[in-house]
Amino acid sequence: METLVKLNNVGLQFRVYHEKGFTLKDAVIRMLKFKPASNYTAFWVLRDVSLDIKEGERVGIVGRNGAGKTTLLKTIARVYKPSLGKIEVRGRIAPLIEVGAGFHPELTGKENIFLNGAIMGFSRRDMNARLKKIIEFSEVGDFLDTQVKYYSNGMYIRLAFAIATEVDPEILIIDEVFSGGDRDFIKKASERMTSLIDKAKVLLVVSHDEKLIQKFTNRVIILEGGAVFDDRETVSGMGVYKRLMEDEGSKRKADLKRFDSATDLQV
Amino acid sequence: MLEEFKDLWVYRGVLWNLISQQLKIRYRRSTLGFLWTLLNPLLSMAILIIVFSNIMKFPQKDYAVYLFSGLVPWIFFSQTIELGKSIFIMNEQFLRRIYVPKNIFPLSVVFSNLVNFILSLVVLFVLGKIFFDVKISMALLFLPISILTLIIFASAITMFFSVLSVFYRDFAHLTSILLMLLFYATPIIYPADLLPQKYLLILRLNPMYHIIDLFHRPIFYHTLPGLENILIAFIVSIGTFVIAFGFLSINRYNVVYRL
Repeated sequence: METLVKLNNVGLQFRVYHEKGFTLKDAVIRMLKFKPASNYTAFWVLRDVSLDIKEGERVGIVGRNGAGKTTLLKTIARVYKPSLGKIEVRGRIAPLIEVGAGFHPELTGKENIFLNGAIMGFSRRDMNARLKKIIEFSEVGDFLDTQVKYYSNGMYIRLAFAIATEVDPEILIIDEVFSGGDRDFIKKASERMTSLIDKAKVLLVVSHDEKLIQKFTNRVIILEGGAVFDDRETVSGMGVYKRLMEDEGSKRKADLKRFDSATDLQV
Repeated sequence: MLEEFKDLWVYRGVLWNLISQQLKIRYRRSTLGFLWTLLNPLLSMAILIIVFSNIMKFPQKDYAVYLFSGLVPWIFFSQTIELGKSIFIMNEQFLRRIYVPKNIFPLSVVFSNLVNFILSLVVLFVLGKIFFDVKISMALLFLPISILTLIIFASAITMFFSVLSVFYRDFAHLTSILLMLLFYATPIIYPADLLPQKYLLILRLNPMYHIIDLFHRPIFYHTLPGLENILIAFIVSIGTFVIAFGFLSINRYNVVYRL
C-alpha cells in the first residue's frame, strides 16, 4: 500500500515569549542597551516523531493533555512547520482541527461552505454540487443565510463536519470534534464515519473517547511528552494506553497523598 | 518563496473568497455602503479645496482637479495599508488552525480596496466632468499602468507592515505617523513646482512622488508621465514587492508562531 503521510524524525520547537506582546519600543531599548533579544523560552512540543501512514490505515492518536496530539495533527496539516526532520503528505487533507477552523464568523453559513471548500481546493461549482447534501446533513437549512457568529456550538460542529466529510477527502483529520455535539449528532456522525472509512484513504483521529478509537481505528499511536511512546494495532495499543494511564493515575494519587500530608504537617 | 508563489495559485479560490467576503462585510451593514466610501474622498477633497484654494490661495489653476488626481490614489494607498497592517492579527484564529498561504491575506485587502478605488475614480471623474474642467484625453489610456504600479507598491508595503505588526505589537501606532509623513512629503495637496529648489532632491528620492505623478500627468496635465518617473516608479514598486514577498515567505511560519 502507498504511503500517504510520512514523518521522518520530526521535531517541533515552540518559543514562548515572556512579554505578552513583543514591542518595537522594547526592541529599540534592548538594542540601545546592547542586550540580545532572547526573551523567550524554547521547548520541544514534538520530539523525533517518525511515522509512516499508509493507505487504508485508520489511526487513533492518544495521550494525555499536552502530549502533542493536536500539534502533531496541525503539523501534518501544514499549520506548523517542523523545526527538524521532514514531513511528506500526499493527497487532499480535510482538517477538522478545533471547531470552526476555516470559518469566518461574519459570513453566513452558505458563504462559509464555499470558503471552506476553497481552502480544501474546491471551486464554487464543485461546492454547489455538494451544497444540498451538506445542508441536509448539517440541518442548518433555516440558518443558511445567517452569519455563523450567531450559530450555536452544535450547529458549528455539524456544518464543519458535513463539509469536511462531503468533499471526499483523501486524508481526514478529526480532533475531538464529537465532544461538543449532542447524542443525535454523534450517532449520525458515527454512521457517516463508518461509511467514510471506505472512502477516505487515511483517517487520523484524536480523541479521549476510548470507544470511538476502538470503533474507528485499526492503529493507535500513543504520544507522551511530544514523542511516540507506542505505535501498534488498536486492540493491544489501547491496552498499553490504559495501563499507562492507570500507572499514571496511581502515581498521581500517591503524589496527592504526599501533598496532603505535607500540608497537614505545615498546619 | 517559490513554494509560496505556487501555493498562491493553488489557493486562488481562497483569495477570491476573501476578497468577496471583505466587500460583502463592508457593504452588508449599510445600504448606503458604497456611498459612504465615496463620501470619504469627496468630503476630504471639499475640506482641502476650501482650505488651500480659498483660504490659503494656492496659485494652482483648477486646484480641485489637481487635488482629485493625486488624492484618490493616495486614499487607496493609505486605506489599504491601514486596513492591511492588522490583517494577520484579525485573522489569528484562521491562521492558527488551518494552512493557507500567508500572502493571500494582505493581497485580499489590496484587491477588495481596489474595487473601491476604481469605482470612486470613475464616479469622481464623472462628477469632475460635470462640475469642473476635467478633460478627456488620450493620455488617460496610461492610467491602467499607473494603477498597476500603485497596486504593486501598495501590496508590498501592506505585506511588510502586516508582518511587522505581528512581530512588534506597537508597530501599528507608527504606521499612521509614517503615512502622514509620506502624505505631506508627496505633492498631493500642493503642486510639485511650488517646492523650493533645495527640496527637489528629497522629492525625487520619494517613490510615492513618482507613483502619484503617474496619475497627475494623464489626469491633470493630459500628457504622458516622464520616462524617469515611469522607470523609477516601476523599479521601486517591483523591487519592493519582490523583497516584501520574500520577507513574508521567509516568515510565513513565524507569523503563525508569534500571533
